[in-house]
Amino acid sequence: MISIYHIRSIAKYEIKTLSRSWFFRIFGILSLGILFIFNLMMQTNIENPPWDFRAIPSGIPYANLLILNVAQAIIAVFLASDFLKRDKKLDTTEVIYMRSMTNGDYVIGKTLGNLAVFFAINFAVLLIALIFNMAAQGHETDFMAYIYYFLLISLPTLMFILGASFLLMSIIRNQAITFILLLGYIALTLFYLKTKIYYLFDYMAFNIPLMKSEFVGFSNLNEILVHRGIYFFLGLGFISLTVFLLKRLPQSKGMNYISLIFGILAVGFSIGLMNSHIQRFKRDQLTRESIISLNNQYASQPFFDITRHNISLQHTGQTIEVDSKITLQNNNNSSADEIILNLNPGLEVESIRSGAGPLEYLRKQHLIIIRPGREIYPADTFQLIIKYRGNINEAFCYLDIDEETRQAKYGPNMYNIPKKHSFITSEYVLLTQETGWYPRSGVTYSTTNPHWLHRDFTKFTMDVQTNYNIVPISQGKILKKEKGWKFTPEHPLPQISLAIGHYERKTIDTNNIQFSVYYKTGHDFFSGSLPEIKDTITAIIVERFEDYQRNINLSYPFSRLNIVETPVQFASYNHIWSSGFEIVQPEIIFFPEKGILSREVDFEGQVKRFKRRSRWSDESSTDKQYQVRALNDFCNLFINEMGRPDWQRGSGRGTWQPEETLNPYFIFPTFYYFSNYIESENWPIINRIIEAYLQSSNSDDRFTWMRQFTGVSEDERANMALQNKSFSELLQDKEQKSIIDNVIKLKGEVLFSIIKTKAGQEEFDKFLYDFFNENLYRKVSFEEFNEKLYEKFNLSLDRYMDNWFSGIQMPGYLFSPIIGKNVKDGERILSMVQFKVSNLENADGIIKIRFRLSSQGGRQGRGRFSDGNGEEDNTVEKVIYLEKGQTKELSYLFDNDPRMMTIHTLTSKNIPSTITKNFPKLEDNFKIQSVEYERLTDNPVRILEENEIIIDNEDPEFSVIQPESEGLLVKLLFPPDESDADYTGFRSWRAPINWTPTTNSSFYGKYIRSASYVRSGSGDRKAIWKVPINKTAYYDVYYYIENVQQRRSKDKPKGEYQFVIHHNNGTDEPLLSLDNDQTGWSHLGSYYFSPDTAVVELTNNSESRVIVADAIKFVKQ
Amino acid sequence: MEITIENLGKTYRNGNHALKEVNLIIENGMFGLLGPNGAGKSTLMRILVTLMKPSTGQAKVNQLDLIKNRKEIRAMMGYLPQDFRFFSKLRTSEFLDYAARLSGMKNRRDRNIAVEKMLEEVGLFEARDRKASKLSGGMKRRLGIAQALINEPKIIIIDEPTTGLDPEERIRFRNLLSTMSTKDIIIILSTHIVGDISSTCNQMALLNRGELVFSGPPDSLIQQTKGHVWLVQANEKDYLELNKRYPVVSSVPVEGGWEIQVVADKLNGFKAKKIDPNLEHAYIYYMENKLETRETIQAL
Repeated sequence: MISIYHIRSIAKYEIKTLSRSWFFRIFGILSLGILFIFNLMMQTNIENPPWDFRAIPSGIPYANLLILNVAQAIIAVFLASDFLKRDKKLDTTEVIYMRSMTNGDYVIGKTLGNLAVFFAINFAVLLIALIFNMAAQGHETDFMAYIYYFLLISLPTLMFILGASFLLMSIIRNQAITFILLLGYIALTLFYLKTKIYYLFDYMAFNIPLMKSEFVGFSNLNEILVHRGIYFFLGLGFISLTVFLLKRLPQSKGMNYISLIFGILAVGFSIGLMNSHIQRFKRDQLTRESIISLNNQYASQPFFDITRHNISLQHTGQTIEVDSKITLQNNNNSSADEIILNLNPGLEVESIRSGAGPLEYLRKQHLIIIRPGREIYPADTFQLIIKYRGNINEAFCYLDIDEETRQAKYGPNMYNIPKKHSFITSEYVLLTQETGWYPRSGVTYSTTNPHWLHRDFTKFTMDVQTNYNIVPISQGKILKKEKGWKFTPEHPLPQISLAIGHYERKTIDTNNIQFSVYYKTGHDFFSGSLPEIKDTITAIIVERFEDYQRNINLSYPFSRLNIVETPVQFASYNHIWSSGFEIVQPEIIFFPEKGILSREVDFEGQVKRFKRRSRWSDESSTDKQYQVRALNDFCNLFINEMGRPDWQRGSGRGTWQPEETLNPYFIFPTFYYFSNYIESENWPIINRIIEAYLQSSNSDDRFTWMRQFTGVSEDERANMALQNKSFSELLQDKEQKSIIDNVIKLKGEVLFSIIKTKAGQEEFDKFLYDFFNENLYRKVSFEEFNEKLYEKFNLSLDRYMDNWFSGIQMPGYLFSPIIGKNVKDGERILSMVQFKVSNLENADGIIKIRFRLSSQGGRQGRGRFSDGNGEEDNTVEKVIYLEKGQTKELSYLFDNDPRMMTIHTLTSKNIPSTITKNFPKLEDNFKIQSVEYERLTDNPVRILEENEIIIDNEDPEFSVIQPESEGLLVKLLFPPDESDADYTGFRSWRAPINWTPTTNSSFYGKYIRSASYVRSGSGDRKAIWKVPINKTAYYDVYYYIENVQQRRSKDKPKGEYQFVIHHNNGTDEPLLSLDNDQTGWSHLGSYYFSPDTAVVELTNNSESRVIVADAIKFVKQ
Repeated sequence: MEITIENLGKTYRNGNHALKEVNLIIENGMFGLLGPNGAGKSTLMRILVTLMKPSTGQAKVNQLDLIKNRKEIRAMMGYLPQDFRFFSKLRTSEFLDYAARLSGMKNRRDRNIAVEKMLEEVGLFEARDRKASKLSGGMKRRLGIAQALINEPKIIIIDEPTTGLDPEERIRFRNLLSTMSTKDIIIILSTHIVGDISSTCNQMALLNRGELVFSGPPDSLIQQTKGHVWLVQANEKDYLELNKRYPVVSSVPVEGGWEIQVVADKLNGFKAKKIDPNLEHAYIYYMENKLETRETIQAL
């Protein structure tokens, strides 16, 4: 039998032995040291610690243990596999083995000894974290989280890895092989398996979402317990099997067999848990598939509009009980005898009745198919009451979102936050329309029929009762009644939401709108953090809000704007049919717990950060200015379309690539999506397109810097995709999901920019403003919109729609050199910019030109942050419409110096799609006349003269030579980036060793301004231009040079390019010096060529860091 | 105490017959197990201390079966293996405490007393706080003995006890065992050093190539050698000749040549006189003459 005494003895001396080993001591000291420094940096004011680390108190033990766990999982392998090492015939082990104890005593004692030393390190690390946590100013402490994370992260990991080490050693009996196998497995789980099969292999808990909320604790406790249970029981089983397999004559055969049976049972139980873990996801997947299939089946049915909806909800702990009184209207052209509604399949319908009594209905998954018992004719209404109760099945949500996106990591840094879409607990409730918590008309997402997009504007009222002392938040006016609350939205809405929790509120009342922040009791970390501007906060917010309304040319359709704190787990995805996330609801923006994902909410931290940055840049401002900036940044959080870029480890050799992200808190949908809707049978995406257009008037160029890393912007990738597929095809193409938003934005911009140029910018904007204001809170058909447009401007979108939706023709633009001069207009000196643009392709197109002008009084210092009011440089925008084959001459006059000009080619063959021209000081030329025009001309832009031949790197006559330089292992470990990007970013500091195509608007190119570049070297890499000439003659040879990399660095450009020119009289090796700051065609020499000899080579032998191969020009003499 | 060994055999997986049909009864007192390297001594001992299962036969300790009653048998054993090392990170006293705990001494006070006493007995009291890595070879060996004796075992099995000990330590060790052998216990010494047995054991067995070739009191073995040990006064030529033809037990240089002890049935052509044999002579005689002859016959 097992002897506790023996186990304790063995454990005691195992602890002594391990804790005295250098290996363990070094590990212990390093772990404690590193985590001490980590906590020092993250929890004290020595550094300005990141907000995401401090926001939620449970994050502190979570992060500490994640870091420790990776280290201890590896160290445990070394220590654990040591104890069974029995390579000597007679040694110490035999002195122990011949003692009177069972094998179980021995293995359990050893295991406990091993566990104990690791636990000691864990406790020490947690203690360090806890001490910092309690001492740090403004930090809360979640004591229980320290215990939970230890039990969830460290315990199962150690059990598993110890068990696996013991078992492998018992079977293989070779320490080296055991190490290789186990360390290999660890590396595999860390770098390859990661989240595969729903984190099944994630024994270190590095990927499984474990974040704990202060609202609801662990929202996925079942999933976590099952997952961690897998490894705990697997470890337990392995240890039991080790008892059985121990190479020592058993003292008690019975015990040995018991350990075998227990081992098998524990491993079996763990496999059962694995299965249950996987099935949980598979089951959801099946539910989703069957829901979509049902939707497909019913999507073509006529749907009713719900005009009124009175919801009476009772919150009863883990469930809700609802009486839903609905008024439906048949707005179709034909009568119907079936009403189709949808409701979350987790909610069970108890009864449906009309005034006349109970109604017959059929429940299929989420669908409720009701037979009203009579025909409902067009324009008829029908009332019914549905009683239902239950909980939310989240498999029903986000049916359009693919599995990969749904499984993707969510959370800052190392944190993994579980994604939840609804909450119903006794202390907290959060329900949005995506969960289908109240009956809605029609079906949900269908893959075959866009009719499902059906929307209605409903006059809601809602009564809420909850047994708990918690506060509900929803749309509309709130009335506290004797029992519960009543919400009455002032206008019909497409959706309502409900949050119930321990909320407190802070409110700013302005004339039109009431701004409120609802936060969990105890979560007021923000009040008083902007002391210098506390009297002007309201004014700044109102000003920013009004500015934004002006920018998007829409007014806010509601009288409240509430920011409501939600549990950290509340996550949402972007649907293709709206720019908004579920986070944004009418009147409400749900904001994650303590704003963990946005450092902008950490006002004090932001101010410190600004101050520190200003110390580096020698700019200094007052505290007040910093605080204004912090508040402005917070406001920007809601009015920026794009979020912070997501830095992903690219597959390309350990480089990091930024990826554009949408800003989920973007407030724009509250201005349009929840108050207007344009419905179209033929082009259902039109509402989204209008939304994209309205939104684009405020879009910014913040992401242009990303091309530097990615090589191609997402807009350009959208353009590349549009060259092969029509818009309608792309909308169906799941492969293109990452750029579909860019496609929609570009297409929307083009469609409406065309109308805008024809109708006149201001007139069109006014038309839209009035139209949407007149049609607030109702849906309008596309035909009605089009008629109004026709009435006003004699213009119809019909003409453009088919081609716009289904055509794949694209314009392509050629530009003449852009010339800027100072000219005189009477006594005034003006700046004049002139150039010519041609669209020689077979499709109409539009370009946007934006001039950035210096502020009044000429050039000023380029303060990156200006004065902190978000005031930008003065910009002027021009939109030019070019029909197919047209060329326009453009001349513009400005009072101030233009600093920079950018041409956006929108949807076109041009890459880069943004051409940038910087203007150094303009030259004076007072002789020429000052003129301003946009006029058609018959002379298209010529890129080639009669006697010229140009070979660009895009041409088939261009090729490169490079030796195979990578070993098989490198290729296997770092497979070449096979992403859809044809071009990569330009990295002069880490240039590629092989010729790599890249783009830049200052390179040469017809539509694609690209070049190939390579790191300088020994001359083993060559770029070759074979020039197809017709006539033997003397030619001047030019090279198009653009010192991209030198321009970026402060050093003087150095080095030279080494060419080899093969001509009739042999070869010549001219050098092109990079010392002078030239751009454009540089003369290499004049040579006599015949058709078969004209070859120019450029080698990578140079002192310059980077060699760029672009274009060669031959000019016949 | 009595250990009865019946038809005990051990065949390893590689086919090597380490023990063949060994029958032996070991009673209270010191028992010496003698034999050359590879004779099967260690195998027999590992079987007796339950580290290894015999392939055939059985062994009993006071009627307790070695296989069925491992728990009881292990509880009465003390064992010092040939190549004894211990956890280098443990202190001397800790290791003894560990051994004491495992042998079932639960009372801490008793255990502490036993540890201290044992440390004194083996002369390691001064080194009680020293870690294993800091002990000399002899000290380690003594610690090995201490851990084997800590639980006052009924059967003590010691493999090659005096290897690596200096003469003083060897004597001390023998005396320690002799003191213990007066109690009701069995001490089994396995050795290839004849002196260890001759000075302490009242019973012995001789193993060769897995077979038991002799068992009984050492005197009985010595008796069988009487008349076969010769002292020869030899010059250089004789010395070389003798060395070639007979097993030479000792050779002491004297004036004009060597005084050589030779084991042989007959010694023709040399000036030799018979002397009284000791255990060493008996062992050599047995190994060289009796067994070799038998093997020659078997080979024929």
